Formats: sequence, C-alpha cells, structure tokens
Amino acid sequence: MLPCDVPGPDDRVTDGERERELLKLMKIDSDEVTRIAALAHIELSPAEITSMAGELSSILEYIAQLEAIELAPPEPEPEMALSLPVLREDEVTPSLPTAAVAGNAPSFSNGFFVVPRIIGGE
Amino acid sequence: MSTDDFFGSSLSEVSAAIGAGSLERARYAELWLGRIREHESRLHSLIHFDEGKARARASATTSGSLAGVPFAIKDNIVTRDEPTTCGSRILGAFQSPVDSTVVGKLKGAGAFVAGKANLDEFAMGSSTEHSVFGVTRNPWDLQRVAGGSSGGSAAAVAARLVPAALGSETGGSVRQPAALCGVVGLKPTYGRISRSGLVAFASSLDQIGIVTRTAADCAWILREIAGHDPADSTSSREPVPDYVAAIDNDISGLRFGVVREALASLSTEVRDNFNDALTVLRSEGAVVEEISLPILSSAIAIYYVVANAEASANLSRFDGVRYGFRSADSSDLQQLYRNSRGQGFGPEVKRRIMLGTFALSSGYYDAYYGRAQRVRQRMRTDFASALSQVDCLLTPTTPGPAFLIGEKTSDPLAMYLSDIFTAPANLIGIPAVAVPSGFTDNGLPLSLQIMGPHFSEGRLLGVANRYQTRTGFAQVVPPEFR
Repeated sequence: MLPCDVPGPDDRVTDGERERELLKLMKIDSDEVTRIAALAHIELSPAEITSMAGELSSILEYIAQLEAIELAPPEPEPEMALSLPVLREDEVTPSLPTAAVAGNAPSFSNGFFVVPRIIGGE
Repeated sequence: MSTDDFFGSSLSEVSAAIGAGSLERARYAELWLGRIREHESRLHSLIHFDEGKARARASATTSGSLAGVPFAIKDNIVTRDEPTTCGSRILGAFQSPVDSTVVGKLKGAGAFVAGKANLDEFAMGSSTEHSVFGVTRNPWDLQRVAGGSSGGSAAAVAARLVPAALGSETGGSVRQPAALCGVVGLKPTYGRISRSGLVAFASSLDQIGIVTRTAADCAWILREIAGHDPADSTSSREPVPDYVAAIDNDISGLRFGVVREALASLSTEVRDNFNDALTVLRSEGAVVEEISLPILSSAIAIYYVVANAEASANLSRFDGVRYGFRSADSSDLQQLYRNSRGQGFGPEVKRRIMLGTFALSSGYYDAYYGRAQRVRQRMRTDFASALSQVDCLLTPTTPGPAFLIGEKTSDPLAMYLSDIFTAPANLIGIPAVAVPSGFTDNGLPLSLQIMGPHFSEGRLLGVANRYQTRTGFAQVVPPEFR
C-alpha cells in the first residue's frame, strides 16, 4: 500500500499528564471516523460511520481505565520479546513457483500484478 | 478396539493398537469421517469438508505416532490441499501453495486434515458469530455459541467429530471456546510452536494452540509439533521436553495461587464449581493459597489497544492486489484498496482495524499504544513476581458458561470481557491450559484455567491430567451427539 498523506492533529501530545487526560476525554465523532478510515484505507458507508463512532467511543471509554493504573516512576519500558529473534542461516533456498503464487491474484499478466492505472490516466 | 469405544480411546492407545495391527489405520479414520458425515450439519464446525478427498488423504498417511488421526485445522492456518479463508470474504478463493509448518509436522507424524474449522473472521471474536460462513453451534446446547475464535475446532472435538484440532490464540481464542465446549485447550508459551503459515493477527500475542478431549492427548500432540522452526524467527530454541512422560508427574506439594481478583464478580454457580476444583487439587496433595494480582482487571483494556494496533498493520496486506477478493468498481488504485477492504472485511474486523489505526495515529500513539505497552510491562513483572511464589496460577477459564447466539453481538465490549481471564497469558507470553471442571445446573460446561511460567507446559498438562483422571468429565459426551 502507498504511504498515506492524511494529516493528524497538529498538537502532538508528549507530556505524560496530558496523555492521561487525553485517554479520559476521548470521544470519536463522525469526522474522526472518516479521518481514521482514510488512514486505514477502508471505505465505510454513512451508516457504518455513524455506528462506528458510537462503538469506538464506548470502547475507548473502557480503555481509559489504563489512565488510572499507577506505574511507579520511572515508568517501565516495555520489553518486546523473551529473547532476540533467531535468524536463520543466510542460505539460498528455492522460491515458491510463480504460477502457484500468481494463481491467487485477482489479475495477473506477463509476470505482473495488474492494477488500475496510477500515472497519466485519461 | 470396538466401534463403540473408539472415540473414547486415547491417542496413545490408538497408536499402540495401530502399531500392533489390532486396529487398521483406514478403519479408524473412516469411523471419524462417519461421525462428521452424520453430525456436522447440526454444528457447522467445519468451513471446508470434502469427504472423498479426506478419505483419500487418510489412506495415504504414513506411519507415526499420529498415524490415521484426523485433525480439524482452524481456517487461519494454511494447508496445501484445502482453501484457507480466515472466515472472511476478503481471502476469496485463496489457495496456499504450501502447508504451514505445524500441519507439515502433523502429516509427518501420520495425521491427516479432515477439514478446516470455522472461526471468527481473522480470529477476531469470542463466539464464532463473526464468520462470513455462519455461526458454529455449541454441542451442549445448539442455541448457544461455541465460543471463539476457535469455535469450530472446539465444537468438533467436543461433539466427537475429530479426536483433535488446532486453533490459534491471541487473547484466549483456544481456551475460551474449549471452556464453553467442555474440552481441553492449550495455549503454549509464545514461541513454543512455529507460526509459519498462521495468518498473522497480532504478532506479539499470536500462538497456535491444541484442542483435545484430554490433557494426555494434548501432550501426545504437543510433543510432535513443538520446537524451533527456521521459517519463524520468533520460534524458540528451548529444547522440547518429553511432555508425554510429564503428564504422569505427581502434583503433591505443588503450590497453586488462586487469583483473588478473578473471584470477585463470579456467579455462585461458577464460584462453587471453581472451589470444587480446588478441593480436588488439595486432595491430591497440592497446596492452594490466594494471591493478589490487581493488574488482571486491566487485561482487556491493554489487549484491545495492543492487539488491534498490531492487527491494523498486519491486515494491511489484504489490499485486493496480490490475492483474494478485489472490488470490481474501482477506477484508481486508492479506490481499489478502499473498496476491496470496505467490501471484503466484516464489521468486527473493520472495527478493530479502525481502533488499532486510531491508537497508532499521530497525536494518540503515546497516549494509547505507549500507555498500553507500559501497563503490559507492569503486568509482566506482577505475574513474574506471583509465579516466583507459586508453581501455577488458577482462575476459572471464563467468567460464565456459553451464552446464547446473538446475546452479545450488539455489544462488542460485553463480548470482549469474556476473555478477561485468558488475555493475560497472551500479553505476557506464558502457557495456560483450560480443563473441563464440570457442568452448570443447565448442563453447560465450566472450566478451570491453569497458568504457569514460560515453558512449563509439561507441568500444566500434568496437573490437568491428574485432575481429569480424578474427575472423569472428559468421558461425558454431549447428549445430542452420543
């Protein structure tokens, strides 16, 4: 997918206290749903936008309980894994057969995935 | 072995009988295929079942510890000979060119794929109601859900359509349906089983799990499929112990911590059942004490930020270009992405991608994803501290028994909360097993959850095996499927 150029809110939050305030206050309206849907590359119907606003707001209201958890300073830094990923030997192995992979594509021609024209349309 | 008792036999007994020539592999497989033919239509546990092809595969199996054993494979685990749908429209007619590592290992041990099991779309759900192919019913009450997201796997094992199944776990998706269907569900340590060929949902949480009637069968299968895989860099190099030998270990003297915060909101019926289970463990010489883990109540809030943030990234690969469904009515590439995803994903998947995209978006990342990861780290240290005081932690697997179909679909949050006791094991990467602990007055299964430190699967299965030997719930077949 292409990088997305939809702008976020200007005032990027960095302060811990303001983060927690943001958690507590967050409500999602239809404009915000539309902004997120553009970021997520998902087309939503007007009815979906309306219902999504209510559902996301109530889920975020529940998630706001994270604000109340007291984390003794310094706040813990997340450790992402039990151990570092184990890399396999850098050896050349056969690839999947092109025909087997291309067979799953909605449109494939002459070794290429076919999509609508991107540059220089009519 | 007679036809009457074949589905009550353990996998080790079956293996011995086949090895000794007193049971034919093909006949054993045929008995199970007959069960599927007779009962599957009432359950809808399988998305894909082709009896003729399954029979052909059964006859082509090799010898091994699982010779002739049919498996239901959750349909987010790719297989070379069947379609893989993830319960979604967006996969279209996707056909994997390869088997997942885990299915390859099963086949290498002589097993075969009987069918692909139903699931909530992309494993996102707790009831298997979010499958584009329709809901799976609970074999103990066909009006109730089988749980989820591995509902098809759990229902198929509970109804004795297959002796074993594979599911996947992100927040309890093997243990919760196993609990609701009255079977054993194991969520192994993060990295214990290769995930190569498991369609990714949330990569820091996902793990393939096992559904069986008994802990002994679970150990029999885990021994075959655990271990490092060069194709999965998150799979562990920790040696694979002899899980089958471990199930006979004495549990006398083991220390169990009952998580106090899990007991607060339980109904009397569920609490009494849980206390009965503690009595059984004590009578086996175990030491049972209460332990406090207040962080437990934050599990769902952390889970729904972290899992959905990761899902929003993982599911970006479904874009209508390289495989699966493509919307027909798109004049440019951006529209092709948006329409294919808008029409291809179901409501729950869209909701989660949206939530995850929001939590990672500029201006909110620190408040949501950052905060959730810091609280998750706190959960890790609190559980590690608890597990330094006791050998295992105990909770009910779920707050209650199977709910009615449709009861929670209009309230996503209520659905999410059925995973409150299971999600911590995924968030911190520890193993946990769900083992049937009896029935409600209405005849619905209840379940005990046993959690342990990383790589303690042998200990957990040993405790579960001892408990099952004492209680006999594994022998009870749902009345409609006798």
